[in-house]
Amino acid sequence: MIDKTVRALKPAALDDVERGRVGPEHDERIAAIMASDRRARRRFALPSAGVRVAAVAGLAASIAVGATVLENLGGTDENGRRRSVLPGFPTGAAADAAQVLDRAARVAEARPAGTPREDQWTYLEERSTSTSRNAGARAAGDPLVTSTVVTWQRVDGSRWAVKDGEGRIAFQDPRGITPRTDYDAVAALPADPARLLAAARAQSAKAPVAGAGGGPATLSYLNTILRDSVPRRRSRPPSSGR
Amino acid sequence: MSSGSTGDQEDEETWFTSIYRRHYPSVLGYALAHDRRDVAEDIANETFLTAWRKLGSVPADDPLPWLLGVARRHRLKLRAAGRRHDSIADRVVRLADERDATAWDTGSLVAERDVGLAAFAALPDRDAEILILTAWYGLGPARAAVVLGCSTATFFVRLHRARRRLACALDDHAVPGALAVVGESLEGQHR
Repeated sequence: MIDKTVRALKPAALDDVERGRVGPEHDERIAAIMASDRRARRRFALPSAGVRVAAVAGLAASIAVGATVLENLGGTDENGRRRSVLPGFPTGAAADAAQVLDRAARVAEARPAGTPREDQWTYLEERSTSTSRNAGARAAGDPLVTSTVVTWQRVDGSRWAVKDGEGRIAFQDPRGITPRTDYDAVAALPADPARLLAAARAQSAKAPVAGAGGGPATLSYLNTILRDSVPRRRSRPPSSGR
Repeated sequence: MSSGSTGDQEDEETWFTSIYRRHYPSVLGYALAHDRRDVAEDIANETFLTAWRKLGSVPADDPLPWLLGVARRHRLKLRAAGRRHDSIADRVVRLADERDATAWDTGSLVAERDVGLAAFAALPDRDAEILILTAWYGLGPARAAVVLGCSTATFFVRLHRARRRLACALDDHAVPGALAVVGESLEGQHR
């Protein structure tokens, strides 16, 4: 009788859910789950620990930015709830920032590229904290200064803008910016690690970083690409269903 | 399962896809019994992500209790992080529709539905959780123990106590005229 009473309390709506079919709308989610962990299992062999540390930091920043841009494209469902455009990406509040970035990283890895339009922009905000001294090591008691640089890059790489220290937006000719971080330029880079490193050394030598030799300039070149590269632009206009 | 070859990888993907398609509705339903829709979907998604990552641990013959156990842990992790949540009784009220009142009336139950619900709501959520594992999901003691992460013997003890508490709560909430009927019906039902 106790079990019968408890059973009778079960809402019919839950039975509806449990008897439901898993339709084709789940295919993308299933694929994303399987792809996310498969990629996480790969380990990249980088030339040195220094480069690897910088590359990971840059990658985390770019993933977080990419997830922010794409997450706003989902629209709302029939109940007015915000719909996530990324399979498995939660629309509710995450328990903490680590959960958000972890999920964004997993989903961004699995998400097929190609949703931004050519006329959309990637927003990048960089905050850095350093000693106020112009050169030399920081002495105890030296004040630290945090600066923020805000840049925008059009997905097709044709325009670049930066917010100056007084909040004004200044557009820049992207031809003067190196390295190029639009998709076409990044896609043209060699996939082989040794050839990529050689290409990075050759390119960075053309526009040397102030005070750098070959190693730090190459590190900076690769870090910039990882940090600032934008998602692939759409090859066709978006369909009306999205 | 090893993933060293393309063939093994395809086997894993086929197996995982099969698990997902067969059990996603049940996992989502379990999560909805405890949390609102968006949280429940998060829990269901996290559950299958865990299942993929630990595919070798998923029992081939009976994945559901394992999956519900994972969902339960994800659910409890969210609660430990401070997320507000409803009790199971709250969820019953929120999800109820007119079909539920009709089903109750035709179920030959000795108490009115609001009495049953009041008694159920009076239980600690851990008791309610144990009762619905058997009554709602039809899990036997061994399978329910997998969900809770305890031994079968421990589950039997917890189930017995939960049933006894509900019986007492039904007595407490029943209208005076029906007390004798409720008591007679429940006597000897405890197992």
